[in-house]
Amino acid sequence: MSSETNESVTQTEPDSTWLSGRVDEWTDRNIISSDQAEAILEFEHGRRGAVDKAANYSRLIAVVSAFGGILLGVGLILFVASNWADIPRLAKVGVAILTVLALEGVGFWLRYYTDYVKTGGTFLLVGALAYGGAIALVAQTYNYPVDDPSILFLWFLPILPLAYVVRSQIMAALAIIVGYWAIGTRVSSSVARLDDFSWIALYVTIGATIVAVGYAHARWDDLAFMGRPYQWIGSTTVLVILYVMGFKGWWDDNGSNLPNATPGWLWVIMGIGAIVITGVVFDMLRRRTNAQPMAAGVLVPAGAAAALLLLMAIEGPAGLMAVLMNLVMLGALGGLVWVGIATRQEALVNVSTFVFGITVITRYLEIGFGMLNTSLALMVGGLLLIGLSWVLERLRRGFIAQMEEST
Amino acid sequence: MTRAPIRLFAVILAIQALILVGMSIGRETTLLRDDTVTLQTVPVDPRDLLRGDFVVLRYEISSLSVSQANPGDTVYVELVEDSAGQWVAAGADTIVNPDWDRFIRGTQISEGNIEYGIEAYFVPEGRGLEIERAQDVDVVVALDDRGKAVIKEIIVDGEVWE
Repeated sequence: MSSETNESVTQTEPDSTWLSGRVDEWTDRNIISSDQAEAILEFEHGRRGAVDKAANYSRLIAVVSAFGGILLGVGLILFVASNWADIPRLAKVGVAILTVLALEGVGFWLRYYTDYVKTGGTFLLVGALAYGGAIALVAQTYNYPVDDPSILFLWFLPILPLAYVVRSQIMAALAIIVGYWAIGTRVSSSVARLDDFSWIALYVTIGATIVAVGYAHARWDDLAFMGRPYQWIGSTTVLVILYVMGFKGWWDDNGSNLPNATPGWLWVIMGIGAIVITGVVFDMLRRRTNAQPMAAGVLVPAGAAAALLLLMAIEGPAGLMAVLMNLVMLGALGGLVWVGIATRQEALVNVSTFVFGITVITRYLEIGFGMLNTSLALMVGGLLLIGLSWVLERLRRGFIAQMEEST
Repeated sequence: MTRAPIRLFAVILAIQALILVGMSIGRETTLLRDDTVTLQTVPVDPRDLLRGDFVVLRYEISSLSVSQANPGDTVYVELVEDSAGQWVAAGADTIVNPDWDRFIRGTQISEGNIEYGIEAYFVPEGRGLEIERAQDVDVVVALDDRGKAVIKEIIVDGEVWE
């Protein structure tokens, strides 16, 4: 009850900077006295503080209930994994179906017919997880092959549209992750084994493409917010791959085998990805004014993915390749921070800053321990961490402040 | 309060239920048939992240060479019963020979390596070793008209394992 009420109040609350500006102008024009101006600001700031507290509390409820849902869902899956030995096969299937229908049904009722919107969302998420558990249970009951990719696709297929129907970002994120997993299982279960280049090409292409798919949601006002999970997971995919390939050790181990034999279907997927990305960017620039930051949001991960693939194809000494990958990653991070500020996506700024921090630390551990003795390396590392955390926090606050000023 | 998209929600719920029923019905239909064969196997005991403990089953008919078959191709193996009541391979091809009485469908994974979709048998947690340590393990497999196989039961040292 409280959660939904608080959300609506927060959204309509005037910005304090805007209010201060208006009050100053009213005072200058002698519409109100300075005492009245002070009283108005004091009243509004006090009220705003209460609203902020309530909004924070509401976020806490959302986080706690989401964690509760995930724990319950994971518990259900593990319970299924522990195997029910003494129940007839069709009874197991019946129980599985009824559990899913009950969880999702209760979630839907709470979400749309009561004031317990967030609790309803949690039940729906648990229902989507339990549906995955139910699929695993049926597969277990009938001894489906372990690496059968259809099992994960059958999980993915209904929960993605369900996420849109109930407007759940976290369920969309779950569907995207299950989709990633399904594609990986499908490819690894195929007879022709992929080389490292092909695996990387597959996932950076998917990552960059789903970022574009995420931004494409902005075409429809109703769907815009459902694009965020695609943007975040896609960008994170590209960043994680760049991060891993920024290690010299990776190139020492794998560099001599790249690229080997890229199958034809992968070229088709890369081609489709390129068409989707180009199409989304053109559509955005054609239809919207000031679409450049959003277009950059698509092009930064896509550009990083393209640079990564190009560098892998031309290939050089391991050390040079690692440096080049780090430079591509730095460029991508800088670009994403700018996009985050320009499109007011605080999460994108936070994730990019965090990944930057992790990258600096791991690069130090990779290089510093080879150059210094252990105790000195630890001390320098500790100082570096303290300094870095201070710098990153200042940067992050600066970015967030810029975002607030631009609103 | 937001308007409830009840129809779309009901459709997706129905799709989820149909998927679960569909996964079950196909296999259940095969299991209800009388066409069964008993295959000798050697199990090992791994664990699946989602589905728990299972034994990996490797069959005598898993190691066959099928001329003209490439990796990924569907292959058919004729089965005949030997004097010990075990079913063994009598022939293999990429098409079904009309003279064959019983046959099983598989996929050629590599030269001399065929999988039939019956290589995993899920067991209650911690009980995989009972099968792994047994002297003699046979698997009773149900076959449909197209040679698709589903594990019906497992026989450990002469007893149906439960």
